[in-house]
Amino acid sequence: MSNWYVSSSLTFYSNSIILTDMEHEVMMDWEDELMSASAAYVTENGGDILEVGFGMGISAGYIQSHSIDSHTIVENHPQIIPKAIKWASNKSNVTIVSQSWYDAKDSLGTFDGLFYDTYGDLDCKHFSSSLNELTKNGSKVTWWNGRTDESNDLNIPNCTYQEFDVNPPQNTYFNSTTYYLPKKEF
Amino acid sequence: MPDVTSDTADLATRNTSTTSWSDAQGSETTTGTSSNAGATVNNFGIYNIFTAGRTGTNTFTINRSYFPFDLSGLGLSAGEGIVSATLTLHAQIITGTGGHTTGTAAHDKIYLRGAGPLDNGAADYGNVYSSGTTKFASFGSGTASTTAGNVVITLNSDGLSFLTGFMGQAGASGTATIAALGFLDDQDTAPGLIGGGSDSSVKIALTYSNNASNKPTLSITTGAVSTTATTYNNIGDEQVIKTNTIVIKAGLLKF
Repeated sequence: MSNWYVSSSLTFYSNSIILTDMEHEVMMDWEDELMSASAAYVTENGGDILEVGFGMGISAGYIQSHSIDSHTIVENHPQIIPKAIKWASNKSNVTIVSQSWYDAKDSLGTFDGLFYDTYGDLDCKHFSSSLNELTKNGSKVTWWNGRTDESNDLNIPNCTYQEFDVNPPQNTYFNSTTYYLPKKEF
Repeated sequence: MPDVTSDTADLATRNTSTTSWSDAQGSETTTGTSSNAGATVNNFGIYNIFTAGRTGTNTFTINRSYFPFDLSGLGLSAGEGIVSATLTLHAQIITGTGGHTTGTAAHDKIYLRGAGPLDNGAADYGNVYSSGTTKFASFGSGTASTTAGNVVITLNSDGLSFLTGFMGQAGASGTATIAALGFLDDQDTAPGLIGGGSDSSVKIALTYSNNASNKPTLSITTGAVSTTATTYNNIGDEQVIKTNTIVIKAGLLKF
């Protein structure tokens, strides 16, 4: 369960979201290029897209810029949910699921593309084993990758990685100059 | 008993790591990820925690505070030394989300150690280490509570020796810096992951020199030290003693 994060207060700035109780950055706008690339990969098949974690909405915007049928967003933080709902209000193909992805996974369906980017998520250890029930043959999956080499914290095997040169400001979650965007095709 | 308040260069420093607790602790040369100088009070004065972060990448976080004291005006006369000293910190344990998780009584304590001179920024993070990953000596500890109040810590003999080296010295050589650490950082014990079933964390708010009414204060008592001569007779060859700087050989030795 990730209750501690859900009950944590967030502070929203124009360029970041900060976990107030810990002074940790949750997400920052330097990631824009990575969000764009992640969205491009998971929408290569078009069709139905699942996005776990709305955050600043950067990747959601990029996913919408591609030709897709549906866009399901799972978000469980009470301060971000209303922002996601407001963002989706003029988008007919978006569904907001306001709960933990792990609690909702059995009712979400299957998807052609999946982008997973969460914070304070102790259920992430179940993500790899949950993919079979969320994906179709040929589905494209990526996620935020905090590793600084061709590996990932989610123990998802047989991935390829695309390198990006990045220059993040000092933060609590990623301080390398190379980002390894994981790509997994089912 | 002269009282000395912390210099305005006092500060809290932070380092984080997604690799390990020891990586977050760093070494003498580690520059932290951030610092907070000029605060009147900082809820993150001392912080030791391990939390789930971004998509499976977990984060170790350590905050340490440093308090410099100008002792240049406190010269010691011949035959005088520091008899005792206390450091008073105004502190409060912060509970709640991302806060202090009481494990044992030791978790609630503030731990003091010596520190190197400050640059007043994130580069000061590793100053609690005298070299490499060897910390300065421990000077003692005092228990904070969830109610804000003074924690008076009596410095041990290592603390007194440390302070003595700065008494009456000119310029920067007269400023003694004391580090305040949390239990898990001081004892090199990695915290349990918050929410993972073995939570352990330390979060203690501290006040700093800019606080009008609760400044960190060092109280020093000086006085005559023993000058009584002690004579040791008949030291045999087998009793040769070697210290860092003195070799005592067989014969007659008089202190």
